Amino acid sequence: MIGIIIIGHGNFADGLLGAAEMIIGKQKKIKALSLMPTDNPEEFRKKLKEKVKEMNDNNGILILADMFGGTPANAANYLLEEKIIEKMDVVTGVNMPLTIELINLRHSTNELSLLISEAKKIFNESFKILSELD
Amino acid sequence: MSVEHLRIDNRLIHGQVTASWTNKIGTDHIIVVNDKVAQDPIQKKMLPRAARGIETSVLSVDEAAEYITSEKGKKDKIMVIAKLPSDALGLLEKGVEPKEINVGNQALVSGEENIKITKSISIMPKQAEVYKKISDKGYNLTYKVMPSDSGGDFIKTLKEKDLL
Repeated sequence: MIGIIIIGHGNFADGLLGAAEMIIGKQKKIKALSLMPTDNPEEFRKKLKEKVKEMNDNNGILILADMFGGTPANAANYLLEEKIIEKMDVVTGVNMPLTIELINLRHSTNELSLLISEAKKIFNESFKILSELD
Repeated sequence: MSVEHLRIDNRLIHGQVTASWTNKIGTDHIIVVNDKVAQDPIQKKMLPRAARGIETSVLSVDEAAEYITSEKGKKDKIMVIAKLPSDALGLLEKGVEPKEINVGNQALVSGEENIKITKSISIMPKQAEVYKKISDKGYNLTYKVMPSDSGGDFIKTLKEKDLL
């Protein structure tokens, strides 16, 4: 199964994982890694690298980051450039519906590229302005 | 001279910088300064992407000083991000005159003696002297994570911690 690692500033990653599990129950092969104000970015990158390698089972790893250009996403981007494992990708700006769908979808596919193209759809659909709904 | 703001921040270009600082400063050119980072091909490719559209250079101390003091460099509104206080001091010693200098993030360095100064800043005792040299060049060194922070006098804080 494709592994998922959620990364973010402060309590974002733990919070998002906890919130998702509140809805769909406890999950396997998913981890959260948080960057706190005192954390060293290079050490965060090292920890993330270890987690990716540890969790990878040849189906690949999808990293969900809180915001593009932030330190957690930058660390993931670095590992992507380093090609530390064969199949890995990073998506940024993640939210709750996306996370829940990705967790569920990986039960039906081991194809990382398929999971990512689905993610894009879900993400676009999840943003709604309620006053504009019919 | 064209450096509107010099930020000492080992996280380089990241959320706080792109979400708050670049707007506040109105910069049109971010220059990340550190000799090691400037030799890392991945960082050189990644950092401009993280800057979300603002022109970005990743330079060694020498290269940065040369560009900033050049005729072309003088026309930019530059934000310098120095990874370490020694990078900032290197620039000052080579004739760069930023309008202001602020300490952003300095994380713990493992395997070294670190002293926590604020929630976001830890320093090694030997670095206190570097900060003092920066301040001795006529700068009021502040420590703001965000532009809206009140910031304080960094040198005064180091003195309170008996580091100076």
